[in-house]
Amino acid sequence: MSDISFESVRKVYNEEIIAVDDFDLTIEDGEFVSIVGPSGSGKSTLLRMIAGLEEISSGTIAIGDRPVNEIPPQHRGVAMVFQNYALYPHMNVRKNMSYGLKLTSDLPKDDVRERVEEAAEMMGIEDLLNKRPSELSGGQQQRVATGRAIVRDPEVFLMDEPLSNLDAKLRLHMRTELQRIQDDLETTTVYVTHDQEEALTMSDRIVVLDAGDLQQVGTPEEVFEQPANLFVARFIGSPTMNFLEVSYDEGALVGDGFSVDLPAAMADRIETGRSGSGLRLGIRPAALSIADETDECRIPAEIDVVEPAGSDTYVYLERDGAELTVRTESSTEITAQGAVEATFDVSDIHVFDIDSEQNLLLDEGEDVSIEATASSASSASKT
Amino acid sequence: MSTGSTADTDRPKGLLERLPFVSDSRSARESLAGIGFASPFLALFGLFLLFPLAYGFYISLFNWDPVFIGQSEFVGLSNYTRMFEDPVFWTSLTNSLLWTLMIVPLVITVPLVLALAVTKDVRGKWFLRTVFFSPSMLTVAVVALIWMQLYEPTYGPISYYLGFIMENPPNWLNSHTYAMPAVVIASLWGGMGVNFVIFIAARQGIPERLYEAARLDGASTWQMFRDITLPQMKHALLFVMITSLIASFQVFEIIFIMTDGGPGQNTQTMVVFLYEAAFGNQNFGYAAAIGYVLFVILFVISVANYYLLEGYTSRVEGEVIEGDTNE
Repeated sequence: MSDISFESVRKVYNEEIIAVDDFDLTIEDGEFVSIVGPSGSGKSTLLRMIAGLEEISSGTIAIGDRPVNEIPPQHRGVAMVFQNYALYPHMNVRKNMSYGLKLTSDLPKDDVRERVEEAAEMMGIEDLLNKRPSELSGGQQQRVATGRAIVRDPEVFLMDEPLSNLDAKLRLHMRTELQRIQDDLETTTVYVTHDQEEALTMSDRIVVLDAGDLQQVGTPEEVFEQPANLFVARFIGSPTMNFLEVSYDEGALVGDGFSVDLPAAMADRIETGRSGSGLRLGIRPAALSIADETDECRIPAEIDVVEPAGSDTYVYLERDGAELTVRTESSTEITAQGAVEATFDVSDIHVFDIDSEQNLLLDEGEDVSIEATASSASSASKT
Repeated sequence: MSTGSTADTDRPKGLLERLPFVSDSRSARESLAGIGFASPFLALFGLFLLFPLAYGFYISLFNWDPVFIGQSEFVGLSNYTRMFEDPVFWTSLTNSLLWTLMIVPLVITVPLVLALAVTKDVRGKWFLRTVFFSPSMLTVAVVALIWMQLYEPTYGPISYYLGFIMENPPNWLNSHTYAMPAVVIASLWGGMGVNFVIFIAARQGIPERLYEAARLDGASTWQMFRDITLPQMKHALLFVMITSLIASFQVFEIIFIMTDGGPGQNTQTMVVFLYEAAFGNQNFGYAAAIGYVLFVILFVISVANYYLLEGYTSRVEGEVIEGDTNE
């Protein structure tokens, strides 16, 4: 088991395309860290640089105390689960799992066999050892790929969207399986996904990337509840956060047809942090509800669609072409039609500066990279 | 399986269904449709392959007169007995085997190595691919003429440059030692392009993720070639090996143009021998017997080759991790 540190890591393709830019982070020993971001954000590149499958243009990656920039993949002590599993199609499961051990260790045959069988038992694939990948379902292939990584007893697990090819039900099941395995083995794990729900449910910490730039590092709660900037606020959370254009006027946020009085501390922070060109008010759908006359903060809107979704009901409101989503419990009866008002608690709001896109209500919102380093140092313990 | 519906049972039977061997079941109708679709191919296969095969054997039993067929004399198997007693037949067979032993390994390994080399991100790989493939666009006659110029003992560039380092460069195409290797090289240059393209396609079909997984597993370049590339390319290799083997036994044009089987009978292979028997000596029955023996040799070699290689590639896969298998 080892920690992983990145120091000013940069990856440039063809001397012009910047895939990862000046990336600093420390992943603690035994931590489960998810890297999320849209396509092209550099998350897979980062993972492949840890694995040694991509060269590092500048900066240093260290696993444990060892800088690994010049160390070939097989000597880095990492094992990787690929998106398409990358099982050797002409070898059976047993050979797929033992191949790496045979090549890199001096273990006697019996020990190799024992370790393969232990890993197979852990993954529940003992009966599949003599089958070839083509004879296995997607879920079984995923288990074999994970078993192949486990059997090598690596210092670091690298997982590149390992669940993205599974159906929704199996994906949920495998999420818990992977968490259980990581809890049992306590192996440092770096997990790349574009599915923010996966990241929120599985990780000790989440790294949010966009266009090669680190946006925020934090626990799932921090990233969800205190998004550092507009990108993180938009990317994390489903349905996505609601945004309204507002301006600041003497301790209040003023929007089209509504006004929100702010507590003094919030008003101070906005007053000092804003650049002056405008603000964006962000409210999570779960923090919005349909208002009655006693509510203080009220935003006028029209009900567009009411969408029951099992335990929740989503109410889509329209307001001057903009859409607001309200998430309520399905037991809440929506009787109103046409014009309604949405309400929220002022403690649930986020305020972003339109120019800098930073969250003005954050304690450490000024410098994402400083926060990343501070956060990585402070939140090593598992949730 | 019967369609089972009343309407289906009650309707009058069509002409096809009234035939005694045709039931009205769906599977029978599908079989008939299949035969219908395959029949144009089967007709051509019969006309241009099965019929000549049988007719060739028939001719081989005669002193065949192609002009006055009725005057052909039935000689039974004497063309065959005569052939097995003919030393030129054995020389030709030996030359064919020698040619095969030289050309087949080359026509597999050289394009394989080149294909693997230009699959990587090397500079100018598209140019190199064009260079390696372009000789295949030439006819065999052109390839032969180019190499005859190159091998020309007086003003040919090979002998000219060799003249700087040796006193008497060999007269390539008239040398008992060098004639066959010289023609083999010309044939390799002109004939490897198709195999080269097949190997490039096969290599590009192997997912890069497998190589990345193997790198993480600690495989060296050689181990990746042995454990990933070879097993993954086995169908292409098998195909190229069998077609190259058959083609090598059928080689004719390049030898006929470059050496005409000479010097002496040094490069006279089976088909050149067959050609001489048919069109040199006007002995068509004898030539048909040679052709038939060639067919039997090729058939046996192809079948044996297929099973041997199938077994070998399965073993390669099985032995990637030797031992510890419960298969």
